[in-house]
Amino acid sequence: MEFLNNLSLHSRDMLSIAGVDPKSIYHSFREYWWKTAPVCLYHEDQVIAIAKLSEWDSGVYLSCLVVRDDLQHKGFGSKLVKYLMALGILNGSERMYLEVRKDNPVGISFFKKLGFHMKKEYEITYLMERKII
Amino acid sequence: MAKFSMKTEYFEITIKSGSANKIELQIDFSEKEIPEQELRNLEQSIRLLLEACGRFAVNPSRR
Repeated sequence: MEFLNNLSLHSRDMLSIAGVDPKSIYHSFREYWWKTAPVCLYHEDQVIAIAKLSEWDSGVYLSCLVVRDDLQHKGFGSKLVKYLMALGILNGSERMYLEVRKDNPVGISFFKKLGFHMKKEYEITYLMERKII
Repeated sequence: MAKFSMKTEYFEITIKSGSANKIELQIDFSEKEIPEQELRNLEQSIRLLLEACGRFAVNPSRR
């Protein structure tokens, strides 16, 4: 519980994440046009999860969600997604979209639990959608 | 430092900070009366912020 008490959620510049090359993430962010800054989940000044939203179609697109390896399955990813859903609503969006690889059953299950459903099937990914308002 | 701010013609909401046991919001209202749909949007977004920052277990299928 002490860990949760010290957890903070906010947006700021990209920092390194354990197990992930920050440069590779930064470059993938720059490939597209983004409206908001990356949203990071911090604990004791360390990024433990990071996500990114962009506007897409009539909604928002969750383009990245990374949780530090040793802190997965503790609910931090879902908290971050809910935070981004709230930002999406405040942005005037009605839906959230994301793509998840077909060979990622854990990710598919995670997003289904958050209320997402399959909208379209691509070659290596599923497009998932959730009505947020 | 404001972390996120969104302005509509009815209100401006600023999320100043958020943590597992505290969220700091500022909502400045305009002179206009908030329509029902805008109010629902505000309610739902605040609910999600509570779920994100607080210790609430909510089954999304029940919404």
